[in-house]
Amino acid sequence: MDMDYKKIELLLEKYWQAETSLEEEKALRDFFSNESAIPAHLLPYRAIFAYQKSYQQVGLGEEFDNRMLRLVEQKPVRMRVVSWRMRLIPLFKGAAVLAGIVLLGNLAQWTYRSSDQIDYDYDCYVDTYDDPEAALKQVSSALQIVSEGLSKSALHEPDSTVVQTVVE
Amino acid sequence: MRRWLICILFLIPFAVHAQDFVSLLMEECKADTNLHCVTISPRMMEEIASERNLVDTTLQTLIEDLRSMRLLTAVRHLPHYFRQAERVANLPKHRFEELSSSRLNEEKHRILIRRKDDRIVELVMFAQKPDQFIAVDFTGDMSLEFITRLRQVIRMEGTPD
Repeated sequence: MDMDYKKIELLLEKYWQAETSLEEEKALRDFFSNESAIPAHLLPYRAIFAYQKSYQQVGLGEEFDNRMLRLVEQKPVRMRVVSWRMRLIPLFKGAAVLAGIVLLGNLAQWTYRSSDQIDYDYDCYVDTYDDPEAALKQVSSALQIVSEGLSKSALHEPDSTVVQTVVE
Repeated sequence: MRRWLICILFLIPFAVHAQDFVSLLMEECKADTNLHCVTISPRMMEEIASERNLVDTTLQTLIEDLRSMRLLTAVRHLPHYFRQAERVANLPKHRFEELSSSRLNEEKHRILIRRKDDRIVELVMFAQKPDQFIAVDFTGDMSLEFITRLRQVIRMEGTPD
């Protein structure tokens, strides 16, 4: 046993001189981690080599490997058959947008034109007279006014270009 | 985006009511107490047209073509109201066509029509006289022949001058 300790002491001397081989260092680590009855003068070194031994056993573990493999694993490329119909879908979408714009334009134009084609909103009309005779007098008076206006002014042909006539 | 489009499509049918000239002019002169408006609605016009004791047949036939009448008068700020009326008449979206116009000393007249296809649906006259601004607006189903008949001097008993 003393012999063994002598050998360990020699190996330690070499270790501090940085002359030990990998096998010798392994022998030192094995000794300090496995030996239960270590002489008192060698005990201070135990922590160093036991730590080295335990540190060597620290690994990334299987879970780490699996995670890395999952990350680097390439996703399978799925082949998709693109039919002509699918290729034309963007074209259809564009056509639909264009049709919508044209439809809105036509509706706006129709609304603009129909302002003359729709009946007047008579709901807001409140009769000034309850008596038809008084109303008749007012209507005939108004017709007279317009008639006079027509007589005083020159009449344009409704289909011709509108030109203001000035009668001096 | 789709919601907006749907809203617009729903609102379009509500925006197609046409307004007569006097209504447009009164809208321009909101809350103006100088203006006096007389309204004869289609219901009253029908009643008048069905009056049996109308002596003047020309008047009778003219009234039969009318649906409503509005008469707007003012005795102050006459040039202002005439200008406003001209502004409304010239708005392109209402598409009033000028039928005739005159200017005699201090008197100015303009007569406009609004057409639906080949029929006249509105006849408007507005004038600036020395002491009065007047706008007369008839709606109905009129023709050029109606205008010709109207040009004849209308005189009937009891008609105020």
